[in-house]
Amino acid sequence: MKEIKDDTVNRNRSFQTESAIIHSLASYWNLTRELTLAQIKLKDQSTILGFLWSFLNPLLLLCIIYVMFSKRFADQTEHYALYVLIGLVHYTHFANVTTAALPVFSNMRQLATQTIFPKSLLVISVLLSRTVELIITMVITMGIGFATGVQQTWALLGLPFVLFLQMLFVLWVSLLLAMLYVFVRDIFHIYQVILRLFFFMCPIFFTINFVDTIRTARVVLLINPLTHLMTYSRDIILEGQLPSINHYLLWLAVHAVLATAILMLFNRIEPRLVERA
Amino acid sequence: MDPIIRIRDLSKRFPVRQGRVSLLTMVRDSVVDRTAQSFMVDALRDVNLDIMRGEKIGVIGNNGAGKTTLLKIIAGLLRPDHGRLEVRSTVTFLAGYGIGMLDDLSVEENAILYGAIYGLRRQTVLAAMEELLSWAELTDFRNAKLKTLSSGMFARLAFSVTRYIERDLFLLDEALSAADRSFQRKCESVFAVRKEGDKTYVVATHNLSFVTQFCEKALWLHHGRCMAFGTADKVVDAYIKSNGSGPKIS
Repeated sequence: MKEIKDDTVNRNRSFQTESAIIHSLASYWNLTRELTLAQIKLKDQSTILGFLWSFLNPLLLLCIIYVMFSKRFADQTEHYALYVLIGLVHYTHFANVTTAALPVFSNMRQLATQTIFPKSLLVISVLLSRTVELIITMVITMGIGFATGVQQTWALLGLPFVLFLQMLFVLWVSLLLAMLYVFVRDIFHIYQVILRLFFFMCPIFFTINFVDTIRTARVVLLINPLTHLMTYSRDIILEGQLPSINHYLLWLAVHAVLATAILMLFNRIEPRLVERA
Repeated sequence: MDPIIRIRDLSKRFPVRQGRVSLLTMVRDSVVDRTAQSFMVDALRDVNLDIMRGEKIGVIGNNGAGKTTLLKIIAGLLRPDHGRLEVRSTVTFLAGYGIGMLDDLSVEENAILYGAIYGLRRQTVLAAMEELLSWAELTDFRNAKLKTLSSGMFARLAFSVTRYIERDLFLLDEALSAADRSFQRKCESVFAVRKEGDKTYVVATHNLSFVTQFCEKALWLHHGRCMAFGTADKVVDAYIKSNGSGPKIS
């Protein structure tokens, strides 16, 4: 008996015309959009405040942090409340998407194991539905900035590029977690602890200068992608400055390479994920 | 003419694990005997099959015969352990009706979502919505949440959407299992029209009368082995006579 190799499963690749491939891509986009819309419609549907919770969550957390830390940091940081809010918006998006994407194979088991489409779309639709919240909360944050006297400049046009970078980062982390969860369910509990730790590894309520004297903490902050995403958004909204193009492109390259590599790995082991889900 | 599906010496085994998989059990498995906690089951063994374009094939056999595994491998959802597989078409795999539909969305919203899962564009479903709901007898329920529907209404909605799928190869797994008698008659009238069409169907089912009526050929699987493949009437007859475990006839 011959052991199976890649070329022994011939699944109509050589028979697909260009138009068929385009049709497949169009139908995948169609499915991604419908899955995303369904998740947006269902989110907080049974709550009284509904979609408002997307913004209320970081806002309530901001109140707690402001009460606790404003005396220590507010006089060093202009617009401290807004500074914290921007950090919380980035962190909340990261935490929400990754937590929702992690058990996606288990939560949507029938869809994952009994229908034919790239299962990465399940993760991507989670990301897109939560990114709508990110965009809304970011717009509200800018509105608060405007209302509290922060001067808004043309640099705001750079914000979509920051959000795109955030999406790329969250995408590869989510894909990685969704894969790992299929093999080791304990990841769910471990990740909850990691997320709490990660909160303190991001400059949400303190500035990077605060850890200047602690070398390890400074290194951890600087290799944390969320640190740079928060800094970009703060520079744009609070200072009216665009981030350095070279710095941005470097992180874009890092996240693009990681997202592509992990997406390819995800697609490659998809049958095994389906089998184990 | 080349077959739309060509299968040679196809085999698939599944590990049947006893107990939960957790970090602790994974660490323990890496230290002690890896196979101690599981055993292997042959889902398919050396299956050979050629299916020509336009053929309607029924796959029959007892529970655990390997019918669903065969369909899932053809669909690309599972990879075989050994053998060769060629599929020369785009594939639709329908395992029961309503997979992916969401209880808290309306009938209309679910029709659009379910269509998207099977490659139908929003515009296509919207354009067909009136006929789609009318066939499913759900015109008055278009804005009702799915969770308020009975299982029969739910199945009718799902089947109604699948009538619009345009693919060359359909893999159906227990497609009519949830249907009541009147719904079955509606489905059978759809299949009666499709019987004359040029689409290829591979249908795994326990409904033997459906196989003899709709399919020209049948494949009988037993514990993963191909017991018979030939004219639907003969294979079904042999299956019934053997009570599911008879000798190979072709």
